Amino acid sequence: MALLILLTVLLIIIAIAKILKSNELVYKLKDIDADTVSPAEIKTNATGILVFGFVLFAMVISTFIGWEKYLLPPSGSVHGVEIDTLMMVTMVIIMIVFFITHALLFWFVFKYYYRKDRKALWYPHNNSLEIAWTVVPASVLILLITYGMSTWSNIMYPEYEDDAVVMEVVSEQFKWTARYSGEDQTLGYASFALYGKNPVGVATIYAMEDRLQECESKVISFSKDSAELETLLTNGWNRENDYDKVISSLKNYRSNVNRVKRMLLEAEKNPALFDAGEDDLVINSDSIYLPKGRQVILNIRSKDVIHSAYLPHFRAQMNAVPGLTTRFVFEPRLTNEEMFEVAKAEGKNFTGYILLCNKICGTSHYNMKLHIRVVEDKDYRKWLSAQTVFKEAYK
Amino acid sequence: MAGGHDHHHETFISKYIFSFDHKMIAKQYLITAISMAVVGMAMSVLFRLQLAWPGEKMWILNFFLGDKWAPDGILDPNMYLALVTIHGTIIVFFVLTGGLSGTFSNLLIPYQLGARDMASGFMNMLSYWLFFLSSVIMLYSCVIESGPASGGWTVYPPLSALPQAMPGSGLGMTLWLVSMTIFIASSLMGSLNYIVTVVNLRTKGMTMTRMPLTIWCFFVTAVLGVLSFPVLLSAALLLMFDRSLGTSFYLDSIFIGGQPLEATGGSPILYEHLFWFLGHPEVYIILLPALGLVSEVVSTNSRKPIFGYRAMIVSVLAIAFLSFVVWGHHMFITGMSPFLGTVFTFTTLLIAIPSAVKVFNYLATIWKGNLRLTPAMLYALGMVSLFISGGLTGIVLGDSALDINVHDTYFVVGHFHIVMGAGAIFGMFAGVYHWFPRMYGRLMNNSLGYIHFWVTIIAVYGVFYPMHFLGLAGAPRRYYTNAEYEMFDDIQFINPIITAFSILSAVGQFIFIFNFFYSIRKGRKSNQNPWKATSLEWTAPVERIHGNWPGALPTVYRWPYDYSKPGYEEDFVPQNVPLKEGELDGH
Repeated sequence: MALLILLTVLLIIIAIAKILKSNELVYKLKDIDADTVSPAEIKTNATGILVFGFVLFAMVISTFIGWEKYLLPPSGSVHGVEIDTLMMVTMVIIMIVFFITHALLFWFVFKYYYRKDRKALWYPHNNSLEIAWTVVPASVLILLITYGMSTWSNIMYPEYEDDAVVMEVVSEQFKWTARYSGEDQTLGYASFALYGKNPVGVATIYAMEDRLQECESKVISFSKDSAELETLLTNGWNRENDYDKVISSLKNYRSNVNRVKRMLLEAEKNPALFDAGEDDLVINSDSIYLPKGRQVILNIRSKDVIHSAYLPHFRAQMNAVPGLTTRFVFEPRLTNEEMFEVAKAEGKNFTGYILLCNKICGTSHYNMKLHIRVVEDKDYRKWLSAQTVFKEAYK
Repeated sequence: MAGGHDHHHETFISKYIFSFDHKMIAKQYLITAISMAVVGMAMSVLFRLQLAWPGEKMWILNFFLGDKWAPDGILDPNMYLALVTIHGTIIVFFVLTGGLSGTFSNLLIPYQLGARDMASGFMNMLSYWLFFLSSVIMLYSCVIESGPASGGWTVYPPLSALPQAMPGSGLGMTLWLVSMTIFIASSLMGSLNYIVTVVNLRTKGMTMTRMPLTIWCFFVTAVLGVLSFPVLLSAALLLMFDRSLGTSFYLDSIFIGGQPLEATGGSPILYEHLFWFLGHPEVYIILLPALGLVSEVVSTNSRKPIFGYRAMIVSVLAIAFLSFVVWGHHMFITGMSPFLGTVFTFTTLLIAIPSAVKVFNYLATIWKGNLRLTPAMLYALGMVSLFISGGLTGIVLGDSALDINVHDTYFVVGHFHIVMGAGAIFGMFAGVYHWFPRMYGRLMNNSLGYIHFWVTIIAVYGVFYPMHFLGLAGAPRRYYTNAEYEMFDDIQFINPIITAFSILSAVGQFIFIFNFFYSIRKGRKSNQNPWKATSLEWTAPVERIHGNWPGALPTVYRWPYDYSKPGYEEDFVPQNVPLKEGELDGH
C-alpha cells in the first residue's frame, strides 16, 4: 500500500515536470507574448466551463430525482407540514435563481471568451438595471420573509391545549432522561441541587431532606480528606492536584448544602409548591411513548453542558441549556406504523422516530439518543399507567 | 511614516524577518497562511477518512496521529472532535482572516493607493509576528498530551469551560484561548493600520470614489474587524476567568462529574451572543476581501469596467452594516426569545439583496466582454458560482422556521463551506495567481494553474454539494460516526464519495504549492504590467523597491476601470494617465 502511494506520488511529480517543460516549449515555439495566455488555452477553458455547466446541471437534476428517496419522510408532526411546504416554496425559488444565474454565467464565459480582433463593450453602469435587480430580489425576499415569519410565529407561539402531554427531557453526557407530568399536568419543581440518585432532580420534601443528609456527610468526609492532605503538603508532599480536587469538591458540596437548606425553608412556607412532583413519572429507559393527535409540550433541560434535542421526523429542535428551561411544542400526527406506510408509499425508509443530540457535547456526542414511539392515545395511556410515579420510584 | 529613503541599509534580518516593508509582510502572511492551510486541509482529510469508513483500521491515521489517538489505526472519538475543531479554527481564523486580509491588504493597499508603505511599518511588523506567534501556539496545542481544544471552533461553554467535560477542555483549551487572544491583538493592529492608511495615505487625485473595489473591500473589512474582534476578545477573556479564576459568567446550575458545581448565576447564552456578535461579521471579514479581489480580476480580465461601480460600493457597505445585526440567526433554537428569531430572520434575508446586486453586477460585467481566461479569472468566475450556490442555501438557513430542522446538520456544513470556505479560498487563489507577478516579478505556470482550477472546482462541488442531502436527511454535524443510527444507513454511501473528492482536492492543492514555489525561482519573468491593468500597482517597477516608486508618487486622474474605453487605441487606460480634453471620468 505504502509502495503504491509512493509510486503514484512519483508519477504525479514526473507528470508535472513534463507538463511544465512542454508548456515552456510551447510558449517558445509559438512566440506568444510572454505575458499573455494563449488563445488556444482560453478557448479550451471556455469550452471547459460550458461542459462543466452541463455536468453541474446534470448532477443537480439527477441527484434531486435520484436521491430524493434518502431525504426525511413527510413530517410526523402537524406544524412540520407547514415547514415542509415553506421549504418546498423556498427550494423552488432558489433553484430557479440557481439555474438562471449559472446558465448566464457559463454562457457568457463561453460566448465572450477572448479573441484578438474583438473589443469589449464600454458599459460602466445603468441605473435602471441596478434598480431592477434590487427591487426584484427585494420583493421576492419580502414574500419569503413574511411567509417564514408567520410560520415561525405559528410554531413558537402555540395555543396550549387542555389535554396536552406535559413532559420534559433532561440531557446529560451522554443520555436523555424523560419525565411526564402526572394527572395534574404539572411538572413538579426540579433543581440541579438534587441530581444524584434523583435522575432529574425532582424536588419533593423527602427528596430534599435525603439530599441534604447526603451532601452534609460528603462535606464531612471531604473536610477530613482536605485536612489530611494539608498535613501531607506541609510535610513536603507534592500532591497539589489531589488537594485542589478535594478542595473544590468541598466547596461544591458546602454550597449545595446551603442551596438545599434554602429550598427546604421555602418548602416550609409553601409546601404545595413541592407536591406537584409526587405523581410525576421519570422514565429510566432509552425509549418513550407519545400519543398521536395530542399536543406535546416538551420542556428541555440540561444537567451539564449544552445539548440539543433534535427530532428530525417531527421537524423539531431546541437546545438544552444548563440553567435554562427551553420548550418546543408539537403534535404528532402519525403513529410509527402509519409513518412507515406513508414513507413506504414515497419509496422511503422509516426506521422509527428518534430524538438525537445535535450540539457538540463531548466524546460520545454521536451516540446520545432517545427512541420515540408514537401510538394511539389509548395505548399511550396504557403504557404510561405501567410506569412508576416518583413517590414510589424514589426509595 | 515610511518616506522615500533611497539608500536604506538592510540586513538579512531586517529585510526578510523583522521587515517593516508591506510587500515582505504580505509574503510572510501568505506563506504562513499556506502552511497553516496545509495543516487544516490534512486534518480534514483525516476526519473525512473516519466518516467514510467509520471504525475501520487505517494505517494512515495511525501514521499521522500516533498510538495514543489512533491505536491500530482506529481514530479516537476525542481526536475526531479535536480535528474538526482545529480544522475549523485554522481555516477560519488563520487562513481566511489572517492569511487573506494579511496578504492582500498589505500588498495592495499601499500599491493601489500610491503610497510608499503602510501608515505604521512597525505596527505592521508587530501584527505579523503576533499572528505567527498565535499560529505556533495553535499548532503546539495539537501535540500536547491531553490533546487540543475539541469543543468545535465556536467553543461553547460549559463544554469548553469545564476541564472535566472532555479531555480537550484542559490545557488544549487554555492554549486555544491564549492563541486566539494574541491573534485578535494581531488582527486589530493590522486592521487599524489598514484603516489609517486608506484614510490618510492616498496619493494625489485618489479620491475615495477612485479607489479600486479591492481597497473598498479591504477598508470595510478592517472596519468590521475593529468593531467586532474586541467583542470576541471579551468573550474569550470571560471564558478564561470562568476556567481559571472561579467566576461564573457562563455557568449556571451545572452537575458534572457527579457533583453540583458551586458556580451559578451565569448564562451560556451570553457567550453565544458575544461569540456570534463577532462570528457573523467574521463571515464577511472573510468574504469581502475575496469579493474585492474577484471584482478586480473579473474587470481586468473581461477588459470591461466593473458594472455599477457605485452600486458595488453601496452593496458592500450595506452588507457590512447588516452583518452586525444578523448574528442571532446562529441562535434561532438556543432558547432565546422567539421574537428575536423573527427580527433576525428579517435582517438576515435582507442581506440577500445587496448580495444579489453584486452577482448581477458581475454577470453584467462579463456580458459582452473580451474574457481573458487566465487561471486567476477562472478562479474569480468560480468564486462567483460558489457565491451564488452557497448564498442561495443561506436563504434556507436564514429563515428561522426552516432552520429548525436543518440547524447544525450537514446542510449547514455544505452551505458555509461553499460560500465562505471555498468561496473565499477561490478569491484568494484568484488573488495569488493575479498578483503573483507583483509579489515576485515572475508569472506562475498557466497549465498547472488550469489543472489546479479544474481539480479544485470539481472537488469542491463534489465534496460540499452532497452534504446538503445528508443534512436534509437529518444527519447532524460533528458526529464521529453515523453507524449508531439505523436511519442513516441508507445515506452512508454518500460519505465515501465525499471523502474521495476531499482527497482529490487535497492532492490537487499540491499542484498549486509546487507551482507557487517553483515559480518564485523559475517562473517566466513578468513585465511591468502583465495583465494590462489600470490600477496603480502596475505602474510601479517590477523590482519591489523600497518605497514602491523610484521617483515621485504617481498622480491619479481617473477611476480604476477604464477598460476598452471608446476613443483609446489600447483597451486599457491606467489611472495615472491624464484625462483628454472633454473626457469624462468613469462615463
